[in-house]
Amino acid sequence: MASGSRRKQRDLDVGWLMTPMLVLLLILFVVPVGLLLLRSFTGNPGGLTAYREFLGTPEFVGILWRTIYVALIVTLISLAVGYPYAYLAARSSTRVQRILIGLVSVSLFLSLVVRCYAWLAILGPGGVLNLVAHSVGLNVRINGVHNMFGVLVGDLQYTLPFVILPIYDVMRRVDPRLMSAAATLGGGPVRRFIRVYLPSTMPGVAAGCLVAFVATLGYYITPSILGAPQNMMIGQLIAGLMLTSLQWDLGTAVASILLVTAVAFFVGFRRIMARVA
Amino acid sequence: MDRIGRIALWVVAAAVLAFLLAPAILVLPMSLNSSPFLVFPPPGYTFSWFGQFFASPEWMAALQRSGEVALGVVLLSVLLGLTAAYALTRSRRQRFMPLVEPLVTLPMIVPSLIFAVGVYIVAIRLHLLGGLWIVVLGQAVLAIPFVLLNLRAALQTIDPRLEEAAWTLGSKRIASFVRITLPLMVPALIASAVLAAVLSLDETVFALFMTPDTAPTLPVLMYRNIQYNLNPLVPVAAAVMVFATGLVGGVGGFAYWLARRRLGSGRGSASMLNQDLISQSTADEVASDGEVAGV
Repeated sequence: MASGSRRKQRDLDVGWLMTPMLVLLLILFVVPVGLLLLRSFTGNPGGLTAYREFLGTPEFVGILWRTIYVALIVTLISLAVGYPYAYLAARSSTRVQRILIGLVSVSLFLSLVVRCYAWLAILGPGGVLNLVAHSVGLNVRINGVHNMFGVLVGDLQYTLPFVILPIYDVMRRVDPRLMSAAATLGGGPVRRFIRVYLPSTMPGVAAGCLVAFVATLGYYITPSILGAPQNMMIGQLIAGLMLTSLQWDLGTAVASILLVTAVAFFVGFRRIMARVA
Repeated sequence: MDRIGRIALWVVAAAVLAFLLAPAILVLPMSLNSSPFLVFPPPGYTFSWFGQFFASPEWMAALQRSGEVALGVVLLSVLLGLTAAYALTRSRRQRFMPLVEPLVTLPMIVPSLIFAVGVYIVAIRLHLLGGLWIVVLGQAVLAIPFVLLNLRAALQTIDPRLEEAAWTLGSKRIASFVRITLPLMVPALIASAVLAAVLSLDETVFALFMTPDTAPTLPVLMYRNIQYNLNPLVPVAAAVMVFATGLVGGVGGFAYWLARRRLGSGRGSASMLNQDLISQSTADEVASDGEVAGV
């Protein structure tokens, strides 16, 4: 009998333990996002009306393009700055590595609203930047917030850690023997870097860029604190339509467009990465 | 060349660190600023804003709400993440596993604003808005993918035969899990809890949609104040937030260090917590071909 119950224990599969999480994700994520897509077609008058309104309003289309453009710029700058940072961290001694990566992770612990607020104090008219400019003798009045520059700074601050950490993680695992093999085969340092090192760190680059891009695309706290109304991003437009002007038909349609944009970039990016690899 | 290159790298690194950490360093002097406006340097320093903050029912209620929500998010996401991670790593029936991968990846790639709008239109229809529990559920959805990756990685390093050996010795399935596997997972559980707590304390978009003007969480109240009027209590709230997340990170890091030491794996340290957080929170799982839930 004892052996029988043991057999039962062994045969009892634990797959069902997945259920609670799946149920939560289905009910709270998949269903609402699905209904959001549906809602964008079933308003009054419904159909494609809301999409026509979006595409027929140059201002709205401009907002979409601006959002994609800013997300791309932020991603590229994060990569340009984050890659050398990760490289330095990965090539340093264990102790320096821990400090460099630890400090980047610490910045992730800081609330984004707090960080945006602090940038107001740094870049704003009464801020640190102006103080520095004045003390150097520059008689200019810098306004680094409530414009595109402020948005770029805020977004960069948000995305940099997400770019640095995965790249570092991959660099750490690059086999040093690979590089010395390339050296023995006669590759110069630049050639070695481009032909061997860069490709082997591509998975980290891809992951970091993807997260940075998608995060910038949809996050609207940063632009609404540090940006200006005339430089609106798509997230602000959606939140305004849903919460302030209560135009749900248009709001859900713009949200669906953002969703499709994010997923399209994600899938397209993965395709390209798969082909490169 | 090599030396110049190294110097250039260090210049970039210093700039990055200054850029990332400057806001944190500035928060404290700003919160003690005697002027109600954002001026730098502050004309004088005062603790009176702190006094007003802690005497304000509005700010204190928001702080408490944030704490309650974070606690709920930690409990829910770790519990569901743990059961799901166990199923992923120990189940022999993998038929429905292909369904799990996109489900878990989606909350990471779909902007949280879309998720918030979706839940918002449903919640308004069903009159579900106003309670904090919906914020807890929503933020748990956002935290679960990270918690799951973290716990799954931990379970993969624990030999399932340890539990199986206990069964053959007559131990019940749950008992062997609780007494053998769970203690080995304590560091990963702590890391997951810290991650979920920090994510929840910082989460603004979902909470902004779900909480009424009268009952915001702390970041939402800060955001609304920054938007509509520059309240001198905002920098104090910012300092309190920095302190709160620092506390979560510090206590979590210490507990993690203790747990690792007890497990006798030698080099337990707060920076190992960092390593753990990095290796799971990096979305290289997202980008690398569908590795998220694949076992």
